[in-house]
Amino acid sequence: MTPAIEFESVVRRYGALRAVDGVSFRVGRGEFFALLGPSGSGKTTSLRLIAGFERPDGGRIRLDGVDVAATPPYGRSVNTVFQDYALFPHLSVLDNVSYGLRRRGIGAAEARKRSLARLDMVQLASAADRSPTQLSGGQRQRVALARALVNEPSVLLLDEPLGALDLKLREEMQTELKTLQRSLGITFVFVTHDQGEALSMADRVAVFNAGRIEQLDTPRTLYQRPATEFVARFVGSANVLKGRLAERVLGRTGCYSLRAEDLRLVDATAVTRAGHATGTVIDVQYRGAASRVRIDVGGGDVLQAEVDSGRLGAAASIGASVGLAWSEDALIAVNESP
Amino acid sequence: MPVGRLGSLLHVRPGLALFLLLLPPALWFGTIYLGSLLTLVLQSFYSIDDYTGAIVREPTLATLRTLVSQPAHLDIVLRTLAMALVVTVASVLVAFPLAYYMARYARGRVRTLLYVAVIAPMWTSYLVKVYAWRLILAKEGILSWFVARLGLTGGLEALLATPVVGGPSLASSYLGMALVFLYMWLPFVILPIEASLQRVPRGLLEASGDLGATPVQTFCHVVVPLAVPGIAAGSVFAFSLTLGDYVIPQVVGAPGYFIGMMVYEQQGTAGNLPLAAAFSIVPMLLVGIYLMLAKRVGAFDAL
Repeated sequence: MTPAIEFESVVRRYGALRAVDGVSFRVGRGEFFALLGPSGSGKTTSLRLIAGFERPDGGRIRLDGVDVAATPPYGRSVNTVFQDYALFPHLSVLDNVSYGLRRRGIGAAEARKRSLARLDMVQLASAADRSPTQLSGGQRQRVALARALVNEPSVLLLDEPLGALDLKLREEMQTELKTLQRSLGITFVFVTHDQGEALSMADRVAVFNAGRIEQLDTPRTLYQRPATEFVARFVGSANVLKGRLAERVLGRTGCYSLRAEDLRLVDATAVTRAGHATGTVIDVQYRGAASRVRIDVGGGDVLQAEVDSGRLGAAASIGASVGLAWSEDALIAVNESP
Repeated sequence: MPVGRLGSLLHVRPGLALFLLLLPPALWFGTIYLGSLLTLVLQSFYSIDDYTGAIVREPTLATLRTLVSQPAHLDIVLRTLAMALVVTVASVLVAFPLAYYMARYARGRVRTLLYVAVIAPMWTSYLVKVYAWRLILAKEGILSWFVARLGLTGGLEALLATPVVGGPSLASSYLGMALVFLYMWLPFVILPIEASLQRVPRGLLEASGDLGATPVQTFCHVVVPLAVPGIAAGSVFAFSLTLGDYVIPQVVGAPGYFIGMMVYEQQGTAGNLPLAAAFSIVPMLLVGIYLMLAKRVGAFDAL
C-alpha cells in the first residue's frame, strides 16, 4: 500500500540555516504520527512542508504516492489545525467550518448541513452562530478541528494543537483526539514539543533534533531503547552516563542511558559492589506519587532518581548520604550526541 | 518618602486626577470645535433680507430649502456628490494594490522608501501642487506631450470629446479635476488600508489556502473583508475631503460650481452667511449618511 506521506531526503534552508536537513520518513494510512522535538528542531517546518506552505529546497515529498512539488496548499487533500487555530474573525463559527466546503463549490444548504454535523461531533452545534472571538480556547480548538475535518482530508496535520490549553483540558483533548482518530481512520500528523503528549497519543514518533530525525520508533521503543543520548534525555529525561562519569561509576567507557525510575536509593554503607554509586542528596522535588531526588555523586556530576514518595525515608533530607543501585539491564548503550 | 496633600488627595480620588487632566482639552475641543460647528449650523437657519442684504436672525428653513428647490443650487450639490463618489471609488481602486504590496511584500528599506514616497507629497504646499497639476494637464502641458510621444493623441482627444467628463483640455475638464483629487487624497487612502491589511494575520491566509481556497478566493473571502475597516476609513477621507474642497475646482476643471466654491463665495463676496452655512451643512450630512451606510454593511464590525 502506498504510504500516506513520504519524505525522501527533504531539505529546507533559511539562508545558511538548514531547518530541515535531509529528512526521510514514511507515514502509513490511518497512522497517528508525532513529530517531537525542541523548538527550532525542524518539526514544524516539516509539517508546513506537508501542508504546502513551504517548498523543499531538496528531496521529494509524496502524498498518496504523488509528488507534490508543484501542488499548492489548496490542491492538497491535507487540512491543518493551526497552533493559534487561525479562525476567521469576520465569520461566524458555522461559516468558519463551512469555509472549505463552500470554496470547493458545495451548495450553501449542503455545506451547512455537513458543517452542523461536524460541529455537533465536537459538541459545539449550539455555538454555530456565534463569533469565534466569543469562544474559549478549548472551544476554538474544537472549531478548528471541525473546520479541518469537515473537508474529509486524507491527512490531518496538527501543529501543537494543545499548547494553548490548560493542563486539565489538554488531558481531555488528548483522549478525545485519540478516540477521534481511531473512529475516523484518518492519518494524523501531530507536532509537539511535549514528549508525554507524543508518547501517550502517537503510534510512532519521529524525534527531531537540529533539522534531522534522531530516532523514529514506537513510543515504547523510544522510551525503553533510546538510540541516542539526545533521545534518552529528551524523551525519557534519563540520566546519561558517559566519559569520566561512566568510567568512575560503571567502570567502563561509552555512553549509557539510565532512567531515573530504574535507580533505587539504598543505604550508603550497603554499596559494596563496583558499579554502584554513593552520593549526597542536593534536592528533592515532590511530585505526588513519586518524588525526584537529585544526588551529587562527586566531581560535579548529578544523577536523578525517581522514588516512590511513600518510601523516601531518610533520603528525603537534603545533605543525606545515600547509595544508588540499579540492575544491569537498566543500562542502555546509546550513541553520544555532539 | 513624604507624600504631599495633593498627592494623597489624587490617590484617594482617582476620578479627580482624570477630570483635571481632561479639562483643558475638553474645553478647547468643546468651545473651538463643537462651538463653532454649532454656530455654523445655527447660521443656516437664518436668512438674508433681499433688499438690505442684512442677516435676519429668525429661525427659518427657507435658506436650507433653496438647496433643493433652486435648480442651480441642487446642481451644485449633485455635481459635488458625483465627483466625490467617483474620486472615492477611484482612489480605493488605486490605493489598494499599493497598500497590499506595502503590507504583505515590501520589507526593510523598500518598505521605508514606499512610506516616504507616499507621505512626501504631503510635505509640499497644497497650492503649489494644485498649480503644478494645472501645468501638467494643460493643453500644451507635459501630459499631452507625453501622450503625443506615445502616439496616443487621438485617444486623448476622443476622451476629451466625451460629454460631461471631457472638455477643451484635461486642465479644463472634470476628468482632469478628478485626476487631481485622486492625486491629492491618495496618501490618506493608502495609509489606513495598508494599516488594516498589515493587521491581517498571515496564518489566516495560510488557513484559507489550507481549506482549499485559491489565492483569488482567499483575496475575496478573507483579505478584502478584513481590510474593510481600512477601506472605510480611507474612503471617508477621500469622500469628505472632495466634498469640502474649494481650491481644486477653481484652478482645474470645467467651470461648474462645487459646494466648497459656493461656501467661499457666499461668505465672502456675496456676504450671504446663511446660505454659505447651509451649503457647508451638506457635506456634513452626506458624510453622516455615508458612515451610516458603511456601518449598515458591517464596515466597522471588525474594529
